[in-house]
Amino acid sequence: MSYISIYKSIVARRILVLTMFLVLTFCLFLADLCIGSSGISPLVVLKALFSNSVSSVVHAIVWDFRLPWSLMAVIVGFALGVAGAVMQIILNNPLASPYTLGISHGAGFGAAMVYALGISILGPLTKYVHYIVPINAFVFALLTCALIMIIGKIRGFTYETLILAGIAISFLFSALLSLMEYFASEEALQAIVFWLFGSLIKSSILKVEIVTAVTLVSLVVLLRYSWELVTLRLGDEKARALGVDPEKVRVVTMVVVAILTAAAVCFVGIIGFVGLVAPHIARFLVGEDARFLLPTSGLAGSIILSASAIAAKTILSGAILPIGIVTSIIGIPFFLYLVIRGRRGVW
Amino acid sequence: MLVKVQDLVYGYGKEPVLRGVSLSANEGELVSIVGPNGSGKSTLLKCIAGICRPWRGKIEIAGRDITRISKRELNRIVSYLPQETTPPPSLLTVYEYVLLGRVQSLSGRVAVPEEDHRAVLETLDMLDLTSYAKRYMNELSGGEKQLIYIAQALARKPKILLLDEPLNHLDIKNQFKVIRLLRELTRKLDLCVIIVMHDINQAARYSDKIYLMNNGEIVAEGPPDEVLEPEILEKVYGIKFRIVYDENVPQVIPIG
Ligand SMILES: Nc1ncnc2c1ncn2[C@@H]1O[C@H](COP(=O)(O)OP(=O)(O)OP(=O)(O)O)[C@@H](O)[C@H]1O
Ligand SMILES: [Mg+2]
Repeated sequence: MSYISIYKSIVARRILVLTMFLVLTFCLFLADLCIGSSGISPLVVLKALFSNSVSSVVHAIVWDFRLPWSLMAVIVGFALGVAGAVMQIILNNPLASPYTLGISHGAGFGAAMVYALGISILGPLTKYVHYIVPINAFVFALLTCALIMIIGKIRGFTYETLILAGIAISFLFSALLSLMEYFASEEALQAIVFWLFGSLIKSSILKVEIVTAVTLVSLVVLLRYSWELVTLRLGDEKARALGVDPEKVRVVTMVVVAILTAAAVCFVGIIGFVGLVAPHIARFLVGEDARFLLPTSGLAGSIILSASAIAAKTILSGAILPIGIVTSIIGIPFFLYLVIRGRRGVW
Repeated sequence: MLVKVQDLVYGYGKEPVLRGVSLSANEGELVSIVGPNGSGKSTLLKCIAGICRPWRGKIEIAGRDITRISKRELNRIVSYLPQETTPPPSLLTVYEYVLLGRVQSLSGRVAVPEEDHRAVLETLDMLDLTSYAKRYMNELSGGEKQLIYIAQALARKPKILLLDEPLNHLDIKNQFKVIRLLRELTRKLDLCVIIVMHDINQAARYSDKIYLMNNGEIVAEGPPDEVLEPEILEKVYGIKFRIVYDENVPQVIPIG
């Protein structure tokens, strides 16, 4: 057998999976777009997208609500999927997720601070609350990453150090978050809890554009580290023997992932389990090759989140459940199925 | 000299583990390092591979001070196979594992260059491993894995090969196959191969030069028949040996 045929047969399957995921993502996106409580038929939705021959109410519903929500589900799912895959690699841990280093708690605290105390890092609240919350959440999410960098600088960027530091910082911010909740008024408390559940309803086209830009740039940077990331899976000792500096790869990719996660989380709140489960689904289907693992994991995230968005609208008629709750409810059984049925081991 | 180590001192804690080690190896030479457990063999190899930074002394690779060679450049010349490795991840194929040996040339690329494919396939072919290419790493036996590790180190096409107990877990035929292949490559490609091993008889049969280490020092060096003296070995290992000759190759027999 020539090398081309061996390699091609290994890669062909992965390309197939990636393509299928791409198609599936698109189908779910369309379905998500067409399904809703306002009773607009799918055909009318498509018409509203591609022509102007619909009433202005329908046009507004589709363009101001449906489209940004559906796009946000796809892109945030993608971001969390990619971030989770990289986290699991650099922390060498199948339980790692984009939130393992405390980013979610940092973001949560950042948001709660605005709601509870009415202040942000930009100073006292102005009328742009819609943007102050995400900005503050983003900054505090990155602050957790900065704290971890400081600890890593002192103790070395081994995965043990990073995980332990991440857990400590998660606890710190989770305590601070509780403190905010304690001082918050009834109304503010409700806003905090709602934010923490994760929800797509504050999406807008601009927010979608921001997250998309950050995600694309991050993906390109991370893909450039594909081979180094796979090498990390062989253990630090081996990576070093192969000429890769594992700590350097960890630092660079960790910063990228932190920015990526913070960008996704700050607009939609904490959507759990996508970033934990998507990488396992992807790894199961395409293996460890990061060139395929990262995009496939991203698409798996998009699929989970789009499917959850549909479920969130349809489970209870007349009410939209917070998507963060739905992802866990539908994601976990699927995840367990993989763990139980996976023949080759999952890690 | 392709590899030249002079008065190397290195340790992990306060006490040095290597206490003034000198060693040299040339193109087309297969050099063995033998010695008791904990004598510093692996540590010495790590220093030559540029992974540990010497406290004192000097290491020259191809005539240049190792501290002045960039990591990238060093990794183009030197390939190092560590003694112990964490188990490989479940979902990595043999082909990909060996390909990772060439991570330096793959770095930053999404498409795998033709040259790297060729290197992988040639190496698999040399070790009769081509039929394993699509198998998953965690489905291989201990010895089969070890062969893949060796393949990964060879796939880099280095000038200098540092192998830490490469024959571990291999059956007698595969030991023979690997060491003969290394011997052959050393001659054919003018490689410089430094192997740490415990089997003194194999070292005697296949190396041009043996370094006997004890307690962080080189206690004997030279061609096999000079190093394998009963008195020297007894001092190092603390047991008695008898030396017999098989076709002019000294072989040691421990007699307690
Ligand atoms: N990472 C480490 N930290 C502290 N001490 C170490 C470390 N690695 C090795 N040592 C110590 O250095 C000494 C030499 O170790 P080394 O691994 O070089 O021995 P070796 O000759 O390769 O032994 P073996 O034949 O068992 O592989 C030993 O006493 C060991 O305890
Ligand atoms: Mg050793």
